[in-house]
Amino acid sequence: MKRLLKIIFYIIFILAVFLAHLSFINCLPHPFHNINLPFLAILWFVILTAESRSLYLALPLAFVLELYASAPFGANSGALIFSLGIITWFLLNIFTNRSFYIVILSSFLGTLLYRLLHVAFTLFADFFVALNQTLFFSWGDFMVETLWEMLFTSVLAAIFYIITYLSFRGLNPKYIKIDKNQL
Amino acid sequence: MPSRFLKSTYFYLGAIFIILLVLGSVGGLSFLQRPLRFILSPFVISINELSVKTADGYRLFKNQREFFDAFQKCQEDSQNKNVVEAELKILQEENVELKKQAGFFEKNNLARVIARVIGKNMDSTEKTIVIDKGAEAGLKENQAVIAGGGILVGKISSLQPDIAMVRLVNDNRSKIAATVLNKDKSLGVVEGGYGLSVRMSFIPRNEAVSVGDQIVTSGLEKEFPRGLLIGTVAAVENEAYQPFQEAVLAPAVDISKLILVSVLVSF
Repeated sequence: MKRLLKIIFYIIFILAVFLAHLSFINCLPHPFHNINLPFLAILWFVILTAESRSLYLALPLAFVLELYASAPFGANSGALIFSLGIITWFLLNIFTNRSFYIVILSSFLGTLLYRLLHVAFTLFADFFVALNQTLFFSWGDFMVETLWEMLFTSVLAAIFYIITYLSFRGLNPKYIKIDKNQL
Repeated sequence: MPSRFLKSTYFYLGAIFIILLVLGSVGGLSFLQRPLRFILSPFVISINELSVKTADGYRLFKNQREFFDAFQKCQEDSQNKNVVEAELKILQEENVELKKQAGFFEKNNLARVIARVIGKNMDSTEKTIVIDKGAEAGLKENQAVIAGGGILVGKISSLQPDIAMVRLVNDNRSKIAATVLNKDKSLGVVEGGYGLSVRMSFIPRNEAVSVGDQIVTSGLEKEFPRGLLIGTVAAVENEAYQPFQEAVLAPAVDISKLILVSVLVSF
């Protein structure tokens, strides 16, 4: 029963993140719609639970995002999973204190990594798989949009951190768990 | 030292991802994708319709003066519309007669498929929209997508059996061969940018381009017929040290408020 409830919770979580991300992209004006909510949601899950198994949530979320993505199949998913995997490794092995600054840094660098991987996979798929030789890409514009995305995603991460800290401070001062496997 | 837990997680995650990637690339996941799209489509469409309503609110909030000036201009244009329509009708009749006399066979049937816009791309950096017709409706990649009576909004970039992705003219990867309706009929390339800008590049410097000139497709691309309206010139950049001049365009239609579009399947 507990397992079933957990599964239902995960399904609702994934659908909520998908619909929230869709709402941000559609309803917020430029440049405020540049928020990488799927990446931030899974990252936050990893930070709060301190379990690498939380990364598995990225798979169904990425699959749902691919339904309405124009990039070649796998570009969004690959970028999400690989960037989360790398940042999770850093969080669990190097930046282990999960302070405010580390959380912001993780979302900042993770978003940059996501965007670079996304471009790499998209160009690879276009050039080598689809054999479309016309590679139109503007690095200047790309960097501007990526910087906006890094900024707004990090701001949202900071807001999440402050809300969580204020909400759970009374229950547990060290509100972000330490991974038991690391002890 | 990475825990054993983490290594096995990475291994299984990578393996599942590669299996899904291979299956997804060959279309083996469509049995999952179509039912999911069917379930999610009502929410996606509702959010898209909400975004159209909120877009006006932002514009009004951002610049009320500009909004009311635009509204007043629309009212004046509407009043002049009847006069222009009458003149157009006379010109059309004369054109038909002239072509008959020249023995010119005019093919004027544009076969089109009407589709509804059901959402935007999941990735905020690409300016693409999702329409509710796909390969099953006879659509093919690179077909032109228009709004209204002949305003180009983009072209089909990718297809699924039930939906299609349309890359808009203001997307950074969009390039369209175009002509300026000026005295010289200047040729150029209309390119999108990452923001809201659309520019026409590679216009020869010695050809005069003025603010207000209309930009249409040149017909040099096999997928686009000639004469589809793209936009009007809002500003011209003609620097002495540059080999070509550029024009900043105002799109002919508000791309953020598209509800229905047509795909040109043959012309």
